[in-house]
Amino acid sequence: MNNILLITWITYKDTIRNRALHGIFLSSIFLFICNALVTEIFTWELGKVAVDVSLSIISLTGLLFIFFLAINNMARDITEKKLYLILSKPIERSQYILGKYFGFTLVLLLSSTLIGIASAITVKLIFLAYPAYQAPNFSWATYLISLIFLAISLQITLSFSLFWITVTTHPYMAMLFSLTTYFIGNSLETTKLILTNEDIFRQNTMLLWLMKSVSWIFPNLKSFDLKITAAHGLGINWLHLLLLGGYGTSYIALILFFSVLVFNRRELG
Amino acid sequence: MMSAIQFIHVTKSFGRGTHRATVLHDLSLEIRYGEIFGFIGPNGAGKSTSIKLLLNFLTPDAGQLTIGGLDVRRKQFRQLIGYLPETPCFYDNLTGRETLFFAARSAAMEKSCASENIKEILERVNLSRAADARVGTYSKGMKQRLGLATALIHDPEIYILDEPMSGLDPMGRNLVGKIIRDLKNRGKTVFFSTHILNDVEVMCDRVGILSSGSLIFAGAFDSLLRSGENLEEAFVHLIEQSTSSTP
Repeated sequence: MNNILLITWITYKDTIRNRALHGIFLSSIFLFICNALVTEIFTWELGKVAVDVSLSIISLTGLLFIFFLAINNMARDITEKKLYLILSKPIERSQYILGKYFGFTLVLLLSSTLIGIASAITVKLIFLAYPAYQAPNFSWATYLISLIFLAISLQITLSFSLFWITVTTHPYMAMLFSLTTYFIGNSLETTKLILTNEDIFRQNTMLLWLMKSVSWIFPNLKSFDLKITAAHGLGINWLHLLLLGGYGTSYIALILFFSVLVFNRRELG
Repeated sequence: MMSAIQFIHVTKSFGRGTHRATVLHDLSLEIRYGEIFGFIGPNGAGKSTSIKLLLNFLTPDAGQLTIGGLDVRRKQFRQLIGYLPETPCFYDNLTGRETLFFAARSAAMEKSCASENIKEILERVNLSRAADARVGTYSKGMKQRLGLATALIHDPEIYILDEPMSGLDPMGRNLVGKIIRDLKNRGKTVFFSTHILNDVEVMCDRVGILSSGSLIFAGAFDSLLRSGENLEEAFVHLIEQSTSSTP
């Protein structure tokens, strides 16, 4: 068996049996039940709210998994020297990083699929109970596409979280840096829009240059958020989605490359 | 004949600027094939650092380290070794069998061969009954024995054991002692660090004594023990001599 697959296998097995993951999973199911019950209090756009909330629950579950489980798991590998068990075998550090990433990805995909099914059931139930509130152009295909892009956005978050662990092995520091990166990634587009449209900022070339630099470094996570498209049943620009998918995949590859580069130079004392 | 393990003028420091501290000074040491070599020294002498350098977890400031003639900066040497860390840590949610399966497969063992070896090794370290329990439920001694099993699983030629007896009860110590002696009988090389001088006396062919990062003795027992002295007295005498001569 390939070494990367071996690391993927142990990461997946260890994580899937983790009680904290079961807790996160149960909380998301509880949130779906709440979604089905609470949506009733909205007297307008009920169907859109249901779709929006469902997709947000999936995103929240994925983020909880990355910030509280994946970061902690990998940081403990380093601080508790579990890594010695792995790296004393003929396994490269790059294989360890990639194996960890794919292991967490597998758990993330599995949980997103299960929670995605639960979310689809919730939305369907709400549509059945209140057919008048379903967006006229709502399509399950668009809903699925928004789920896929949500998963890509979570993969990007996972990759830069792993990168921060290779930089600082302290789990809280890694979590702090990852959260900061996540928030910058989500507010980047809005900030860029404000800066380029407001006259006061448009004059400031330094600020615009800084904004441009930041947007090259941090991932534009907001662009992967297709909740509004799914909720309102809006049309899809396939070329845009293709480019977006390419951007996401390249960003993940680049971040993993830098993670390996940093980790190869680390002293594991 | 090629050495099993070689430290060639190895120096290692930690920290930066005024906080820089040298923990290993020009360490040169050679461990021959087929011998059991005990690496002893007081706490903080640099034993664990030496072992981490040997496994390429740390990078030396100067010098070279080889295992089986291979530079440790190349991963190929890891196929030749079995390593037991001082405090072995595992994935709590994996079972003992799964942990060993990972260890065997990562050392390029075939699936069928790995399963057979796992069964045999589990019996050897007395963990057969706990094989399918999660490692998180294991006691410290059981984890130590599982660690030894991960080192033994692919039957390598060279063993690097960092405090192999730590955390073991008398039964466990007896078992590990037997395994090390068995390895010697099979012509394997064992390099192990310990605080327990009695273990060294009983098992080792040669010893190396490290004090404040410098090797102050390397050789056979006979040349270490002066007339009427036991190992503990000789050890204390050497350490005191080296610390009093250090400026």
